[in-house]
Amino acid sequence: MHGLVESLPGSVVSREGVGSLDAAAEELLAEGSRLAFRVAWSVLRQREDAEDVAQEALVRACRNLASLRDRERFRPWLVRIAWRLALNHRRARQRRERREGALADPIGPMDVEELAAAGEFRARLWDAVDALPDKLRLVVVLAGIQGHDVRTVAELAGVPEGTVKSRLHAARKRLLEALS
Amino acid sequence: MSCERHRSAIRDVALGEVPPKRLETHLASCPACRAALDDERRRLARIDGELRNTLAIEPPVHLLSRVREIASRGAEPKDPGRLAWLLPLAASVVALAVLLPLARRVFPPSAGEPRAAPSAQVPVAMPSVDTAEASAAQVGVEARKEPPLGESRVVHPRAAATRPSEASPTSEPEVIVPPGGEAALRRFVEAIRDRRMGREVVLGLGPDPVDWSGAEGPSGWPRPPDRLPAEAERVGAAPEMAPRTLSD
Repeated sequence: MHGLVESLPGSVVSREGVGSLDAAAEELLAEGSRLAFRVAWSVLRQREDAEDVAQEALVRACRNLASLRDRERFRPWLVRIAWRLALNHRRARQRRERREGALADPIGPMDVEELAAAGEFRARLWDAVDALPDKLRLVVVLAGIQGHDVRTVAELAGVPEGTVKSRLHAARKRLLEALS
Repeated sequence: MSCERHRSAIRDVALGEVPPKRLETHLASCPACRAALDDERRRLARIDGELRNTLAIEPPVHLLSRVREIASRGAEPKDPGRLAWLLPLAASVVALAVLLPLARRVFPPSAGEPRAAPSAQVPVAMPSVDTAEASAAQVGVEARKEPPLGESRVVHPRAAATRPSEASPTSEPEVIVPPGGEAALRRFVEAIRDRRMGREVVLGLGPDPVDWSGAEGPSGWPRPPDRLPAEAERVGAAPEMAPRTLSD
């Protein structure tokens, strides 16, 4: 990790690398891992796949930390990487499943415990979320993660707050219509 | 029917919008729509709750340690991608396109390059087309050059127009000479070589620098008619005129 994770302004990551992060950097990475995993799971809804994507996103983020000058941009940057990777992973999985003549469910089977826990409402809800356009889906997911407010969603998605409000309104209205 | 008309507006109110006056009036008098609004609000709260609960999923505990482990291995070479070979190829093509013309200017073909000897069968000193001149650029340059008078080198129009694929070191320059006109043609070329006749005269383009005051022209040439035929005044017609004049 030498030379890859250079210390950022504000000493986010120490020069010794990931293995010897300071407390702030450890916290940032831990929070980032949670965020990346949840974003990936919202798209893929399989733990193993979400873990792979989150891992890839975090490794990429670590390796390119040196080019990131603003500590505040770390989380939006990580969200963007995880989101893009998850969408690509999902498309690849759908292609593979179509080739193998597998499931009609575009998302794939849920874990056993998730299947047991998931009621009909939840299944329909995620079907409706999957049917949303990417832009609307991202703001719904980001707002759903830890109940982020509009300002945080705007920061994470890299769009103005007004855009987030209108997209969130449109997305939730579509979900209401789908679940009524 | 009127309740159905308010369905979309009721959803907007459930999402936090201020109800329009007309809807507000309707809600005050319609218990079904008030119930629908409550229903939408409950559903929306459930959606938000489900999303929040589902997305509270925690990553596996080993995720962070694995990321540290992979990242600490150092930078892996980036995947060059499928089309990575295109970049060096494009760079080479650009470099060639820039350097080749420069190299031709800096190192022009030397004057001492061996050329094929003029054919002995041709009475007039005509250059033969060698392979170096056969290239399109070379031919273009030679065709534009005015050969200095006094040199034995005369560019044959046919040779100048010869394409590289047609040229060969052994190809003979083609000269159409009317029967018995070889001697006259020889004198004609010598007159040009000795600067006794300008190119303008040969092509019928300008005043005649040769003194035609005698009964015969210089070197025993027959005196040309005072007025050339109209078609000879055109540049393109001059080559056709020369043999006809010589055969007279």
